[in-house]
Amino acid sequence: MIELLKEEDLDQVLEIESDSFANPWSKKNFLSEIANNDLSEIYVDIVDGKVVAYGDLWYMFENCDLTKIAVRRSERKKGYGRKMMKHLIAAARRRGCEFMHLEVNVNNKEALGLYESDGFEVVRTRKRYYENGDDAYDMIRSLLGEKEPRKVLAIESSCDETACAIIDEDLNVLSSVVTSQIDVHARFGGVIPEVASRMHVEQISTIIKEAIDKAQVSMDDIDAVAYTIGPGLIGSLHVGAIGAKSLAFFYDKPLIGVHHLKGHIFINELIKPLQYPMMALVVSGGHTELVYIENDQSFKIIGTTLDDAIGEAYDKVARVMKEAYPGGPVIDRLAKGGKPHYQLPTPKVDGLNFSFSGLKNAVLQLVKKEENAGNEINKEDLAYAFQEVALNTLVKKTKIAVEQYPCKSVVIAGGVAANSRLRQLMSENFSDHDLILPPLKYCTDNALMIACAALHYLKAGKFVGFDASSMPSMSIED
Amino acid sequence: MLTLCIDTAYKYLTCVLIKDDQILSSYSEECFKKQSEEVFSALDAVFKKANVSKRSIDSICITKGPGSYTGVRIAMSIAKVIGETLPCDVYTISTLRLYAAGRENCMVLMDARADRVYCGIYDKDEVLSKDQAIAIKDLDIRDHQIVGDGALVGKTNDYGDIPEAFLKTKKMWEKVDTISYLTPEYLKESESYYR
Repeated sequence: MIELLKEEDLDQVLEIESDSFANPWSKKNFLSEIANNDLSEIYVDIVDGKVVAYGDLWYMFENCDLTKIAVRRSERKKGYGRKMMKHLIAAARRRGCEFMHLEVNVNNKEALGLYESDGFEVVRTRKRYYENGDDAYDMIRSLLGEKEPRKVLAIESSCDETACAIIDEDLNVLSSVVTSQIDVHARFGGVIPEVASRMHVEQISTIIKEAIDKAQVSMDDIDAVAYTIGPGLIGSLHVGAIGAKSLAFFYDKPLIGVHHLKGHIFINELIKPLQYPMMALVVSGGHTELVYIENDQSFKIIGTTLDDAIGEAYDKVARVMKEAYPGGPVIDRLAKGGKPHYQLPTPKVDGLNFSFSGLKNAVLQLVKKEENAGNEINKEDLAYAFQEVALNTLVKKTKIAVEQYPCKSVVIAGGVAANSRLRQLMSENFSDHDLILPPLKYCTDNALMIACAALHYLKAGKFVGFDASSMPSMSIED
Repeated sequence: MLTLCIDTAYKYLTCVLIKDDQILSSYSEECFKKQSEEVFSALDAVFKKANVSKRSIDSICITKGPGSYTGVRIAMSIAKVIGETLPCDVYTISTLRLYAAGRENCMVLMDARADRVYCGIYDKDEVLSKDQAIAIKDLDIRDHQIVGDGALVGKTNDYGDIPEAFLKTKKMWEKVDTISYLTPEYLKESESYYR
């Protein structure tokens, strides 16, 4: 995710700086840039807590000087340079600059290629510009007469979050507003559909207004309106659909109906470019699916749960242990203090499918047995036993899946992707793949994910009519 | 003042454009449980028929309930989103009061399932008995004329002319102060759904 440089990330930037430039800036140089220079902006791209690239812009009236752009050596040739370049160009355009300027060593073919493909042209050669005697090119790129990147406003309301976000096609996040009902539903141990629908109606106009205001745009600046068309709770989906359709109708915008799980997958593009083919392990309260993604328009479910979703199993096990809803975070926390003690059976399902109801029942039986025997249950050990069996099943099947369907990227998506043990197991098992673990804040439902997916629908010209019905049990293959 | 009126609370889908004291165009069809899919084509039809632009409306008036929960939420979501973004004023009226349409001594009934009805009693612009959910056997019909689901009490169903009703009840429309706080009048607590 690209953001402005903060002091806490500076040490990492300095590492890259000294590795990339003959005359690197000192810490003091950077600090004074951050603190004192209103005419300068340093952007960093942070992936999994690691700075992978950064770029520095100087604004001088109608000109914007790109003073440096660098990618961490170990992360080169992964598209981060191009991603940063796009971001810097968009930032300069937003600032109202008319052209962008940079200098590059004539022998740095890789950088030259990047700049040329991004529209920079050589305007003159500076002889013996560098200390080693190398020449430099002055390159310029016009920012005028170019079409603004298209913007999408998206609404998410499939379960218990009401959310609205605005993004542009260069993946600049203009706003993202989420209100969660989780506190209310926690009182009843789960989401009650009618209650969720009522809360969505209460929030719908507020979140839209806030997203528009925060993005500092008007509806006229928006190029398409997107919403979650399914899957989800029908009453909840309805409210978001009507909200989106109202905007699209009154402001004459095309309408995009997004599959919720595609949102969970495509939000990872905010972290880094996705490489196809890709395997997605989609894990949430409603889904446990292995999805093979050949390209951004082709989704194939190659494995799914035959009974409970993984998140559902977590909720039910938490209930058996008299712990709060939602069960995922509770069990994850308890398991950290647990040790091997209880034995639970590993689900046996052929192929790439999953089953968690047997495991859930085994937990129930075990608790009953221990209670009848007058033994107190060690919750931490039970959480540990359940989590190890459940998550190792997920990882094992994903391993088999990538053997059968070779792919470049492996991504986990959905609420259970926030589970710390799952993230650890995935990191251990998929180091030979481009593994993408979404930041925790993107694991829960939000509208940014719907906006990210909507850009792919927009690109493909996939729109829906105002008579489109919400689809509570839609397949990702549709 | 150009007002877009929408009622999706019960069996009908009704959209009306009212300019001052005149109906410019209207659409009203039985559409139970399909309002969500049909409402925007109905809106498109009334705007086209009246030949006015969508964004030229000054206000929106909707029925706030009671009625089908999903149905009530349709018009309300439109009013809240458009009222907040356009922006424009939002007015509401009780679904039962709208159906009474200013009639004299009128009891409006609407099926609330499980042998209950939503019931309001009105006399012209006065409320004689405010809207409530009540068991059919507890109804005191007396000499009231029955509007709505009359068949539930041995009379005929009669919902009147809903577009006309919006015009006739105009002075009973209630202006919404803060649109973001607007919520439907379900008349049944969602607690009944807490299992």
